[in-house]
Amino acid sequence: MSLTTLWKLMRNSFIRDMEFRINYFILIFATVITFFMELAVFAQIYEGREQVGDLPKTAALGFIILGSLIRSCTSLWQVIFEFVEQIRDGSFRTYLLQPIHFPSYFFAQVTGPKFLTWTLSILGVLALKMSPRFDALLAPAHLPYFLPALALSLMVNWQIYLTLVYAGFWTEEATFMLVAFNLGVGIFSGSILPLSWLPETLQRVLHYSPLPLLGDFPIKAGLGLLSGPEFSRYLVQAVVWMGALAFVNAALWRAGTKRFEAFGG
Amino acid sequence: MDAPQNAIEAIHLRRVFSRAERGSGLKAALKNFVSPRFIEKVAVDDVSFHVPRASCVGVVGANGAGKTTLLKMCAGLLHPTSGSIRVLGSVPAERERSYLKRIGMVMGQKSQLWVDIPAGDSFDLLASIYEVPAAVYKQRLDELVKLFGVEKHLGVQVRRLSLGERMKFEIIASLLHRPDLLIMDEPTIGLDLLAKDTIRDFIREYNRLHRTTILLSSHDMDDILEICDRLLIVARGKIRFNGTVEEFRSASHTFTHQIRELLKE
Repeated sequence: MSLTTLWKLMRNSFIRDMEFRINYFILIFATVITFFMELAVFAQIYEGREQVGDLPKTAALGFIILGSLIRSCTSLWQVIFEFVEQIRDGSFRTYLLQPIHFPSYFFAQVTGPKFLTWTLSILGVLALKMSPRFDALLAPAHLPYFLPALALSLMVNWQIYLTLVYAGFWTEEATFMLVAFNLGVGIFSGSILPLSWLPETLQRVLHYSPLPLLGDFPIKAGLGLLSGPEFSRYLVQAVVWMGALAFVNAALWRAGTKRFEAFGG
Repeated sequence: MDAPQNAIEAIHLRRVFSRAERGSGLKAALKNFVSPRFIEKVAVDDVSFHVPRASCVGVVGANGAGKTTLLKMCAGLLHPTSGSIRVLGSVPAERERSYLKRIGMVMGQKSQLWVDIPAGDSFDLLASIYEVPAAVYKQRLDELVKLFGVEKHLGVQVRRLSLGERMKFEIIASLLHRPDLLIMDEPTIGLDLLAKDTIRDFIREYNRLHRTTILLSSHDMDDILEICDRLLIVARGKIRFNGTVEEFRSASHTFTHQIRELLKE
């Protein structure tokens, strides 16, 4: 698919999303509420302490803020549910009839509606940066690490969502996996709480999964909390997981479209 | 090398669906929850036929006769369980890009347009997907929109259009890339007489002008008689008649009655 087509797809999905104005208000409302709630709990528990777990208090504060922003920028609900529903009711056929590369189409369609969220997140970070308490948050020196980490994190995230969509070819109840993933990813990716605060056994298990790449990796990169070797290890992991998921997704697509029954007239 | 004479060639085509089946009531629901039962349904049963290029073929059959399954296999939406089918020299289920660019499909009961945005935005995207040059796209769109008299609805969200207007836009969407084969599944379903006339006139004229092969399924005998030159009658997954409308007429002076008898078999 050409870049022009991808751009037009993103544009159309953004235009479509703007038809549902209330959704944006809910999104902003939920993000702001969650953010302030976490800050309030945090302030009450750790008042007077300079160290929170293994993190300095300012870094822990930055962790919560960046985690909250990354979660709202990466979590996908409506578009993903629609894809699964389209497989279930047969209207997914449209994608099979057109000369498109579905993963690219998927990427463009889930990215378009995020334009506004991303813009708001950037504005939010810029506003916070006016206070010296947030000096560690996305400092200019951390950006060369944060931006590639965020890009890789997004790509792994999209590949996982694509796998979950393809599960719809096998079960009519694939939405439960999406809900479970969306609910669990906040905790197990380390974007609500640092992974180092979880039990050690769980941490060890999680490091064999792609989940830390979705939260822990970009957040720590954005706060300058990753050493050189840790950053490189995450980088290699991200590339390996991306390749593995792309391979699995290609196989799922081939087998899934063969099973697809295109229900309905 | 000359292009093959036939647009579609199917040999011993068969498609079997596996379907969950249970009785009604709580007991049956519980039984199904523990141990679901699947039955096999033969939708298309050992069918061989051909469709000459540039012809307009009416596919007729009772509900559940296998018409739509046949059309979906022609489009590449469904893989045959056994047998083979070649459409425009390609195997449809392989869904090669070059093949998909040569076909168009209109489904009376499913939309290929983005329903929440104006049709104009969907057309723009489709032109890009099918790589129609901008000038050609503009000329074709102007032509088609004028022919159908829907200029003033181009900026209206598709979901706000009447059924007739929506169907006209669906047909326009499937013709922007000027396909060699147009597959239409009940394109006049639910339309009023005037809208039906407009669509019938248009399809007939389009077939004559561009020598596009048209495969049209409908329960409305007027669609078949006014548009098609050939007839494919399907009953219980098998083909009962494949020939010209004139051949069929000469075998019986009461056209509709004769079809009804064949479908009853």
